[in-house]
Amino acid sequence: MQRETSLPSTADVGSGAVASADVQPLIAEPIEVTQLPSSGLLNLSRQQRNLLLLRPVFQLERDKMLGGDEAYRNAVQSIDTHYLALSALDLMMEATTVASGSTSSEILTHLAEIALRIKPELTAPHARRISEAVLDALDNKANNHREFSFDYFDAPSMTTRAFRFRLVRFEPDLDDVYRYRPTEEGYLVYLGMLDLSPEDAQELMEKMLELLVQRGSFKAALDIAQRARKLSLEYRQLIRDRLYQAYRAPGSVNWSRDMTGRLDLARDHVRKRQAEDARMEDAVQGSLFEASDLQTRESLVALRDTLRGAGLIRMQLVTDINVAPELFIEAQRAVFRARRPTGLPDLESQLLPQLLNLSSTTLANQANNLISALYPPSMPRIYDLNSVFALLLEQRFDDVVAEEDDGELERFVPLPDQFPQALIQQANDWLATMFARGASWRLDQLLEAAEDAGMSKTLRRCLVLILYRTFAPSESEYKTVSVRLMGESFQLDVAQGCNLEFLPKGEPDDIA
Amino acid sequence: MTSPEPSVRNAARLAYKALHTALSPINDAEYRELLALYRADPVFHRHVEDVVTGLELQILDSTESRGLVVVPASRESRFSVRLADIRAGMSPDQKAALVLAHVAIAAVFFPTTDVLDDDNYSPPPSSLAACRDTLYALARRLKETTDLPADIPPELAPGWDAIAALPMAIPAGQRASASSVVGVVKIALNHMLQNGLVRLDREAVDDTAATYTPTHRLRVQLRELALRRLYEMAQLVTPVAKVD
Repeated sequence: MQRETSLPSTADVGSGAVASADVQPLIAEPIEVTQLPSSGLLNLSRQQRNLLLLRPVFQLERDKMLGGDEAYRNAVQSIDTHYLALSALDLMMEATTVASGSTSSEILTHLAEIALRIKPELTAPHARRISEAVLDALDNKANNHREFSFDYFDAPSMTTRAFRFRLVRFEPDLDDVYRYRPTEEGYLVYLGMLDLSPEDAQELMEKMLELLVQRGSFKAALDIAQRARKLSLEYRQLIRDRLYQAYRAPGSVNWSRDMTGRLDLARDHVRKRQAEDARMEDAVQGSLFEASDLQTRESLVALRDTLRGAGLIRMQLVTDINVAPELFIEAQRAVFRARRPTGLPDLESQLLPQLLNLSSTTLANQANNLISALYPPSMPRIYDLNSVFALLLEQRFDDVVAEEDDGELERFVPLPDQFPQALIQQANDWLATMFARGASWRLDQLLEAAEDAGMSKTLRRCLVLILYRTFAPSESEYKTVSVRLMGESFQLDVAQGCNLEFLPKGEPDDIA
Repeated sequence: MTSPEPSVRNAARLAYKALHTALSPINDAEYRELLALYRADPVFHRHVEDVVTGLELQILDSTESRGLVVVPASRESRFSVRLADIRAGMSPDQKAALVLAHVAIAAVFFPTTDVLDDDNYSPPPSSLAACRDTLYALARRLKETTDLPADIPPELAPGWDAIAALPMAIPAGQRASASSVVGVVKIALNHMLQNGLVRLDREAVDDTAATYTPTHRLRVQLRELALRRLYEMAQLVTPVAKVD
């Protein structure tokens, strides 16, 4: 997400005399509402995107009553899922102080406990189910855990654009334990719509804090300090993500190009924040000595503790940064491979990045080129002799994904039978009469007899089919007749082919 | 023991043995003898090549210890494996991810062309996690360093965007699913394992901890065939984004 900030230098604040007028532009500036000269419309894209971030949380609340039995619907009715969603984000953020996030079971247990505290009469299975629904909503389970994607009207381009984001990530830590942690957008949902980078936002918070302490608004100051602490968490997570990424795939990172500058900035940022915090802590300590009102003293103590907590997180970040080069060298050593210059492109450093730049469509189209080259020959599998012809005649088409629009449905009209049922019955009856005479017949004789009997051409064609079917004992309807191939051909107006001979055989019972 | 005849029948027999990718001449005396004849007798050599060519196959390599390495001569060959044989009905994004997973696995085992050329080099065992991280970390880095136009249609978006958009893993997902990075890498590794391109080095209860090593066949197929195809594919890149 693009973040824009323009803050006064720390020197402005260092004087200790920050007027309320100085604070005002700090809050107002990141939210730009400019009028576009071309269309006369306001550019509200950032605010729109920020609104969309909350949509998954709103959808969760809206859809919570869908599904489940009546008992569950009653149970979930008075549960505020907004609170649960934010609480889950909070848990994940706090968990980054000790690990790189929360495991799925930690979050589910936490949410179930909160749900039970909101509504003590909930049953344990219902509380569990609610907690699962909340986590699933944050991780977009409904859409197979893909990114959320919502459309918004983008005034500068006068088009509808898609905004894709995640609220949480489910990724492994260095010990390969999968943990959830909030994304930048997740932090933004939690911390409100102040769309600043964590480091800038921390500076902003400091200034507000200073102002509030000066004014004696300690309760508000405490709130701000707590938010600032969360920002310290986000900033630490941001830096740590990059470091972990570098440790995991040392081959893909150029330390001096990709990391050093960033870490120096982080170190500088922490140094400045620590100096500010020390000053602020002194100021709070001073106010604490002077304050006599119990409530004010409580707020001041909490404020001091929060400031110290944020300081501790920053110290952890300094430790992360200090050990980073060593850990990276360690990671590199683990996968150390001597590299000699070569004329052909290397897979890891050249081909893989280039291929990642190919469009999905090109990759999908080229897939079989690669797969057929990479895999050994696979023996075509034939499970049944019947499938041999199918296999030999098969044309190998590329796998095509069915289009979503399947076209219009048409009513299935069955093909009419070639011969009406009555006609088939007539042919069968006539044949039964002929076979009942006990004589042996040739196929051409029977057809000629039928013609002599004045049967139509259609009826005689029907006879041909019945007679040939009689050749297979399993298909034959005349169990008293055995059929054999004569080895000679016949030619008539309705049919031509191998002649058959129909011989009477014993009683039907014998045949069975 | 008599040496086999340099007949067409025996040539077809050798081709048959070569098609059984699991067979090794070390454990099969007939295979060993036919292979020795193939290497020694030019007439038999030609017979084998004719049989193999007639079957729309191609010989990549022959060694006494590892046998004859034959591959489908083209992607149209009835013996060639296609993406749909691995998993049917995938979306273009999933197909792209599966192709990239294969390349990432190959890159983990053989990062440079040198090690691919060096028959004495044995790649260290690697885990599913290593392959996953190679693919995902690179995709994320490209996402961070590339300024992709906001209005780019999905079908023209680069493959790293498809990978970075996938969830790393599906929580509680047991089956290898083409909808997560771990899932596609798992599908690719499982299929490579079934087809003798990698072998399971160490089994573990947790899939991500199991380690794999590449077989000789993977090295040969990559070196002699697939690397060139990959190189040709890489030439198809059309710049859609500005890289910082």
